[in-house]
Amino acid sequence: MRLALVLDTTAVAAYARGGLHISELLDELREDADLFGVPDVCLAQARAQGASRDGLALLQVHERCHVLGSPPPEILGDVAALCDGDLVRAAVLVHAISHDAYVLTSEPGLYAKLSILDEADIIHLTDDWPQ
Amino acid sequence: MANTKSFYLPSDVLEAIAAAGNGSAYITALVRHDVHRHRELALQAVADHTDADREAARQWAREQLASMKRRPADHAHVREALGIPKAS
Repeated sequence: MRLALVLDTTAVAAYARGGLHISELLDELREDADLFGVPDVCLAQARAQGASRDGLALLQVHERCHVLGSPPPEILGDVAALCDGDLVRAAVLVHAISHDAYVLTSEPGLYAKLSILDEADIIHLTDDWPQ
Repeated sequence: MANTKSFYLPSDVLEAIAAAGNGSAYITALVRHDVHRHRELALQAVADHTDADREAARQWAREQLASMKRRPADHAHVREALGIPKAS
């Protein structure tokens, strides 16, 4: 089973607040029998930013959800060095790169400016509601 | 009721289960409550949107997945440049 998509913190937060676009995307992914990955640090960061425990729990019990642990520290550090030291964004990138997966984010500009991934490999989670 | 599984649990959890008397019934009630709550949350999240909202979001989702299928992500060159192993 292929891991097709990695969610970053903004995508996790969108799901946790009941975002319809991301819910539909993950449900459609279920029909394709693909997995999506959620780095554990993104769950933690979303929680630190106010995402509800219930919303985060709901994401983790999604039948296609695969919670991803921290990458090897040397690799994470190398990529974080390219991300202004942002370990969370680096973890998202390492997982996406190692799985040949897309990144789902509400802030594609943060990834595009790094020029590590092709912009076409970043899915922009747009106009999600409720805000 | 014949299935069994082994778990490692923190001591405070074990104490709570032991104190409950019927540990099996206690755990079953807790898990069922949790599962029910997650289902309620999922239903509520869907109910908060109109049919038009849902259809627009579904259409957007299908477009994204169709695009992903047409052009599967291939990060081989980035893996090589950054020394990142391919996930098995």
